[in-house]
Amino acid sequence: MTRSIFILLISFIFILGGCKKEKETPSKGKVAVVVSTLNNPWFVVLAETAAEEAEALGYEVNIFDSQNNVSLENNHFENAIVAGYDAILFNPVDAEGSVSSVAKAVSAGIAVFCMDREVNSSLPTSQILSDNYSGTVTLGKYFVQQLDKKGNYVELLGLVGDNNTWNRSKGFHSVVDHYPDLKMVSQQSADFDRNKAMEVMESILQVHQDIDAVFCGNDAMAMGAYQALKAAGMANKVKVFGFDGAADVVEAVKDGRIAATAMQFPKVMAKTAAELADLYIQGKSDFVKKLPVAVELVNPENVGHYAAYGKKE
Amino acid sequence: MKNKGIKRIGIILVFLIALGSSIKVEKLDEVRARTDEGKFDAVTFAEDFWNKDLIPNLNSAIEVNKLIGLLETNPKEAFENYSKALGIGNIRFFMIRGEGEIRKVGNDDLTVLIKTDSTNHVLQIETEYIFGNAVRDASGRVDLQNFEQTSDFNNVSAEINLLIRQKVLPIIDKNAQVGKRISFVGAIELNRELNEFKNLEVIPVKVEFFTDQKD
Repeated sequence: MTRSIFILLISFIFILGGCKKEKETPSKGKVAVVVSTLNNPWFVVLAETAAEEAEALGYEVNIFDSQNNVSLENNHFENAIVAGYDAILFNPVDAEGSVSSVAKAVSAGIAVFCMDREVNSSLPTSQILSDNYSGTVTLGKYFVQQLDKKGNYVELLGLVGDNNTWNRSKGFHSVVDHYPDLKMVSQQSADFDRNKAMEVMESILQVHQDIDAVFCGNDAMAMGAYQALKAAGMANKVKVFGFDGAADVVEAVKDGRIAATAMQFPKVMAKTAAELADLYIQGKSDFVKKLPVAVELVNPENVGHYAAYGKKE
Repeated sequence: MKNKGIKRIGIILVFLIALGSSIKVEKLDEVRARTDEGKFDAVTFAEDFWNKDLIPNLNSAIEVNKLIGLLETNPKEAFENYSKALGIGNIRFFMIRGEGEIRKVGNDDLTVLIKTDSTNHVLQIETEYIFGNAVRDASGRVDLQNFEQTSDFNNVSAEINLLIRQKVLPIIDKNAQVGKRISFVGAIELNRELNEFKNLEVIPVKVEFFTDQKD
């Protein structure tokens, strides 16, 4: 009797399993998101938004973290080629060093859409980029006004192999260098990294204590610089300027710890890249090679309009 | 005689074909973007743009009172029909023209009052902070897609702004006085989402001064 009940139970389970048909919508294709690093929340938002949008459009998606390493990035591309991906939403590590990976993918028939950072090549199907230069021109004008055209300042640069580093620095200097009473006492790279920025700033403060402002090429470095200034008891005296529109810095602009930042729109870039990839896979072939996304100044006067990584909804 | 005529026609035809095949049609932007060494010459590009594209087409600028009226009543139409921008986002540029009375000559700008029968508007004509892409992008005549290097494209704005400092600001320095009338054409930047158009900041590309009669 017990044996019969057991057999019946097992049979019932098998029947249920057989009847349960999962409605699997076939994927439209495969999209890879290759991001420079997931060690920075800004890039996490970029990658996750791109992945979510591509999934919503019906694609199988995977995110690959290059850890700021061009060799690892290249491995991701080779794996994507072997695995038969249809498109790569790409946030490159190095404008020059990443070109060969793009070339391999394009040769293999995979469309590449760059997000946020560009490569120095016309091979990508499209490059959706923040207008970094213009963003720092606007920020630079605000910087000059806040310092009343005079004072000593420090500049913390991002990764030296990233075009964004130089576009931002050039945009900033295209304004600030017009004012001879604004003196840059130190300019060093902190690789867009918060911890490194704190260390670099601490070192700078050993030599230069009479400073009025710090311009940082991204918000992670701005927060690192702020930490160093706070530890030195100088946070109330020195104005810190960032770039990105990260959550912690938007809050810091609200409460006055950070003087201003420039809002990039990673969600807009990521969604646009995914949408363009979808159009490409559906058969569209004419795309603009470069699609800039406007960057907006966020300061205490207008911060109420903004939230992390975009507009307040 | 007949053979001579046919021969002449034949020679002319051969000449025209040879001439045609030696003529290459290129976009002006692409030609401007090259020099003999293949390196981009932003100075020459900006001068060309100023003399051949910008100044001859200033009449297409929208009159400032009309724009402000539209921004108040139908901002969507204002931005769609009269603004320009390179890519996507809320920052848009307008080329505007107007005439008004100088109310203040500041260190960084002129404050100008624009009056009509029914409205008063105050705007600033920038004299200090001549930066950014307003003039390049408001013109709608410089295409990013023709530039392989984004840095070259950025340098165009820098050189255009330098031309403003060289050609326009000296006229303002020499003539601006409180009470004088000024007519101007210039570029403005607006955020479509915020639509804040009180105290427009105009990057000037052309100014004229007059009191009762034009100077």
